[in-house]
Amino acid sequence: MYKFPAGFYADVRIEKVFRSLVRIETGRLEEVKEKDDTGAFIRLFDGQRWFYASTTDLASIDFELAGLAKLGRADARINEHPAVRKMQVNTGDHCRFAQTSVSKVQLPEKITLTESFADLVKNDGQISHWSVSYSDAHIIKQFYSSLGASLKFDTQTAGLRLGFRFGSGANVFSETWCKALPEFKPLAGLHHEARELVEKAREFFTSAEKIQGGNYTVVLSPMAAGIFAHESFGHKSEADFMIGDEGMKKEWQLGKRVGSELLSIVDDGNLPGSGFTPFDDEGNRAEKTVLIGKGILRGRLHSAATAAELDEAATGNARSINFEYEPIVRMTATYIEPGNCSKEELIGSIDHGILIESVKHGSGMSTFTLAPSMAYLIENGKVTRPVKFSVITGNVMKTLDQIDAVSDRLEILSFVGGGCGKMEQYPLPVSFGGPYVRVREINVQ
Amino acid sequence: MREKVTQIVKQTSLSIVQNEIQAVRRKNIRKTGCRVIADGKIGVAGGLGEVSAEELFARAEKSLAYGIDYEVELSRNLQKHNCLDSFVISDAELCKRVENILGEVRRRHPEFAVSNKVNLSHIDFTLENELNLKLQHRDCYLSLSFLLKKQGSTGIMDTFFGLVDRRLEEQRVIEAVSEVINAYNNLLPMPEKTLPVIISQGSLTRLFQRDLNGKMVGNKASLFQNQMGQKVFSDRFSLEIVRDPIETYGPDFDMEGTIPAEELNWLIKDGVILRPYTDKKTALRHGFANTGCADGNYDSVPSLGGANVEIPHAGKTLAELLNGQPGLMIQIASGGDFTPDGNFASPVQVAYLTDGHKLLGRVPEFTIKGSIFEFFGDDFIGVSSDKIYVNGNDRMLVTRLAVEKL
Repeated sequence: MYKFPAGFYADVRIEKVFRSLVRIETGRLEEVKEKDDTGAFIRLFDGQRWFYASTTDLASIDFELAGLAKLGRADARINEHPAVRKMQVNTGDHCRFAQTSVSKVQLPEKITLTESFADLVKNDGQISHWSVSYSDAHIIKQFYSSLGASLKFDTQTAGLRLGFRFGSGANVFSETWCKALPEFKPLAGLHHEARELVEKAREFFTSAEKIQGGNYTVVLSPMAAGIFAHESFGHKSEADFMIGDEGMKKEWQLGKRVGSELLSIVDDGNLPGSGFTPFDDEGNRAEKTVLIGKGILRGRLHSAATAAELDEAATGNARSINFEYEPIVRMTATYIEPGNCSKEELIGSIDHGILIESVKHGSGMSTFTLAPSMAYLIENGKVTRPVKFSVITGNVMKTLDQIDAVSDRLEILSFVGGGCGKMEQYPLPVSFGGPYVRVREINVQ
Repeated sequence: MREKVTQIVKQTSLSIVQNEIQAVRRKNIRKTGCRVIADGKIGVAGGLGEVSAEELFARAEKSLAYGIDYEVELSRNLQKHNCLDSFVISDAELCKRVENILGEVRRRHPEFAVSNKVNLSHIDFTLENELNLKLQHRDCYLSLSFLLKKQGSTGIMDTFFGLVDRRLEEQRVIEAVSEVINAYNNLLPMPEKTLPVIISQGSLTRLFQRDLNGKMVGNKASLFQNQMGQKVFSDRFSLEIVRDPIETYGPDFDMEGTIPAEELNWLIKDGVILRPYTDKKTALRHGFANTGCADGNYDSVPSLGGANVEIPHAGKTLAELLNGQPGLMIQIASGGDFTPDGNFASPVQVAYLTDGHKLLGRVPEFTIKGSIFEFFGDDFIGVSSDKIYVNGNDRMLVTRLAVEKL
């Protein structure tokens, strides 16, 4: 056990990380990499200020703790500090991927899998550029605190990313198929899904037409709904943005109506996938946190410090991208909860609207934008033809209120090769999703 | 043949919450990457901390068996050491001076809270090989990132001040933050007349990252496929790869140790598209010149990344480019994108009216639109010769774009 200095709260997070990567680009194997790294992040709190150190030398952890203690002022009553009181004392070995660790799969097997996905596009005369990559990560974390936490847990993802571009010059269309799973083996059964998307993209490339901008009823696919939930509301639910701001606390008071009563948004680190975070990086257990319940603001995402500041429960959302960084409030798996109507019913009542099937990127401050990749016109209750436009945009709060139907099937999407960015910390693996969501009066540009 | 990459980052990072330093983080991380190149193939391996290079080379050699092609000529016979690490400040002094800035901003603007980060980074990066190549880049710089949020506003942030510098000019930072906040507080109506737009270069040059990428051009997938060698943009518009470590805060060599001849830095000159940007492999495969844009992690196979490009200025300051009229200086424009045919659209969340000398006030949110062939064509006005301190201390791009009220 480490020598935690008296008069301080302190914790140590050790990360043992296995990663591998295989990348094939336009027919050539460009990269094969496998690595195993270990590092530690050390925190010390004196009641006024936090002091952090990161190191790759695990033998120096006690030395680092002692060094950090010299920067602070010891406080005999530190354990009574509200932020320290929000730190859970979890113990035990909660690892679940020891048997199925991606570190046990040999690289040639990963290369063969990647090549099998490359086969889907490699001799396609219409595709001018493509790449396929396989990547995985098995991260084992140990967490120890001066309160007595002694915890071991792990997370794992294995996934594929297939990017391809049809055409040349001004007549091009790029699309990406990407999927992550908690284990390696089931990836071998996903070729049909990737092939389907390639064919759908081909049809889009050959027949999509520009449409007139204006206000439309828009149906968001699970991917689009998930990005919207993450970018437009999820980040606003991260409580560190409210610290010390009385006006913000008043504006975001729990119990306030913030959207349509059909809308519920949840964050839950217990869900399998790229957002899986059974414990956060200060040792607190993941919670299912309802952010919006039937249009009412019900909760927000917390670290121990923000939970103490707002006198709410910690939610297990203090996360860092790796051992070089401190945990800050982040999302895990964020999604819109399903409703009661079928996808067909949801689309069937639209005379003239748009279905957004896939999205290139999204953003959401006071105004949100979603840049669609593949979108379709809805006419007389039917999805009719592919259409092109730049972005949909609108006021976030107004749009939350304009949701008027939510389909009954939830889809959570997990990814490799990217993630969420906040401040200096990018990329953090997250997942997101939802059902199909219908929104009235969205501006299409 | 063996190559070794060593990257040492020592960093002190201050986390700021509500104008106070809430946390201090120190890190000292060494990363070592080893490459073995033999018979036109490459193997790589890497590790953190004090690792045995021999062990990494042995792993890299083993991974040659995967057969990754690397038939390029290695860089050789060059020794270069860039040392830009003369900025010295202790952690205690840094905290004190940042606290002074935060305290003064709070005194002047009690309705605004400052949050986010100040990072002091010492970088030591070396690329060496057995062919007498040793390139080293050492730097020490400060990154200030202040999110400025007005009490009671419902957003995550309202406006922003950010800077990378090799010194800490406290008074200048305070005055710049004050200028931004004062302008933010002065909400003006959107002028009826169409005004020039002042925007960071990267917002509008990013299409070149995709469509002047050597792989895209080589595979005939670029928007500019049929325009190589042709005059496509304004006579006054050029685009060059910048390598000066003083300006870029990065090394002047790429991950393959290439420092190309000066003329190869020009991707577009006087409106004519000259060449795509490349690394060694892409240049070799497609018959292009190598422009030295190999990228990758310390332990990766070097590959074509992005190009650090800039539009050269023609000696006119921002005020001179505006020629007596005001312009719309865009500070936050999140969510925009290019269509495949080169049309750009973006919402603008925060923008200020400026005369080229001072920020005059904030204008309501709006949307900007334009085609790359027009805003770098007939509508192109220029790039400021002066660096605009309130907007990241960068030289700003001035052009005409369609501005639509939201």
